Amino acid sequence: MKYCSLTAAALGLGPAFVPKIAHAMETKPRTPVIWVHGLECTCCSESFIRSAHPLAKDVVLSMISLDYDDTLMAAAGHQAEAAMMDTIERYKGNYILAVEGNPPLAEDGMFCISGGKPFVEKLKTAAEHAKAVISWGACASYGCVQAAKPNPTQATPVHKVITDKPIIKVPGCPPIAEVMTGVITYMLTFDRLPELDRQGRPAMFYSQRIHDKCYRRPHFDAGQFVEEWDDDGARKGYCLYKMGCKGPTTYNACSTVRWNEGASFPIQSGHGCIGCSEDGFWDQGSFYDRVTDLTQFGVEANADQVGLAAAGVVGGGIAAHAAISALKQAQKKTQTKVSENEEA
Amino acid sequence: MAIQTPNGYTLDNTTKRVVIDPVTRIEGHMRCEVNVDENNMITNAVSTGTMWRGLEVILKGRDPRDAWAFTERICGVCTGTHALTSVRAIEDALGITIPDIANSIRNIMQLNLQIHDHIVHFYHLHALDWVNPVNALRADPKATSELQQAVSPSHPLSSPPAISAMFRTG
Repeated sequence: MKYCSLTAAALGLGPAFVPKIAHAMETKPRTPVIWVHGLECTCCSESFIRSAHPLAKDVVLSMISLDYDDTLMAAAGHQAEAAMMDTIERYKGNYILAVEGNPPLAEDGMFCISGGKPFVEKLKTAAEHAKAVISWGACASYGCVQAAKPNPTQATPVHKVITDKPIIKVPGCPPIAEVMTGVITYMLTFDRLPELDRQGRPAMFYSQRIHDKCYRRPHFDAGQFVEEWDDDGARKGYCLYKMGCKGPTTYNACSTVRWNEGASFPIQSGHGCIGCSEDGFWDQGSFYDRVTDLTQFGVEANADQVGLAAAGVVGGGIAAHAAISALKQAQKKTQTKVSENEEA
Repeated sequence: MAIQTPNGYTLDNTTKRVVIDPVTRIEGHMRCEVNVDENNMITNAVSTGTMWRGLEVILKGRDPRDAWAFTERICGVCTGTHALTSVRAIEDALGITIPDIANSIRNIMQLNLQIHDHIVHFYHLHALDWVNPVNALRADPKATSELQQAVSPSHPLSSPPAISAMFRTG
């Protein structure tokens, strides 16, 4: 029950849902899952097995029936392949396909071969009769490191290969363990996909920037920054924005859910966020360059431009820095202004 | 008939051929192929990594400060080791020496990773090669308790009732 409460909280559900989750875990038939691996580093699986609320073991033993997973299954070779085909046959239209990694399309898919065939074929076979597809991590969602320039294998995210199934993207390199198990818990409890944002990510975990809930945010607002590694500001835990922290442009739950049972997250350990849950984060300049041109929708302007625009809107006379502090409000106003202009 | 691979290995199908593809419970993708003779002895073995992402190509021309993050993605199971090695390689190339305390912190990181990796590797990966969990649940709790107490007598969960409870909850 304890983890049901924590899971309910993590999913943004009220305490009334706790018995519902517990009931679902105790009574519903386990959902068959096929978990395939393409070009990847397995960090998603590593993250998944660390889930504390719910425990990964409870997910695997009580919620899902993990019928195929090359990283965790006992069988190998022909036996493993047979297990996958058998699951597809038995649960046509009723199993969930979880994809870790992505298919390379160059050279007819020869850069990733499993069971003697290109991975892209295995992916298509497994997806054909799936109820829904979960794209685990940055690889499956966006392409990740192998798709960084010059993308020598033409690594391609899952939604560009599988176009006729509902796909849930759970980006991050890796995604947070509790986010992974939280998505599965939601699907089992409510028999539907969680609410997705425009990019196909579960809104409950990806609707806020790391920056919005960062415990170092007051230092950003107060203009207290780490200027170089090992300076006094670094020792005092000041904001890492000037050291290249990508928190202001990264949508993820790290600053609230945190990692390893809520122990910490990168910024808490003194290093900036590298933005691993964002599309193409490998090719946005150095991880140590200050974010100067924010390319996402709604934040197209850099901090100074946002500041200036906001100063204009609210009647001027406000120092750009103070305006940066009111970044969120400023963006809202800037966007309003832009849409007004468009209408005019 | 024998086939020569580009990197100098010989695949042959003159005797009984056993192919395991995919090899499971590893990071990445692998195929193993062996030939066995009439006494079931392996006479030839070839293993192949069947995935290539080209991280070496992707790393070219990047900011050296970022290299650790790319190389770390070689493997998500032994991540930190690749990152630390990459940082060391960059420092070596640029002639940077680090203070003793930094070296100690890195050693702590590496040893932590080693301990955690042993647990993951044993319980999630290779244990299934010699443990059948379904049979294990039918084991005799008393005998298991005796074995446990012989190894670590002061373990708080080594009594027969504690072992039985463990079997019940799986």
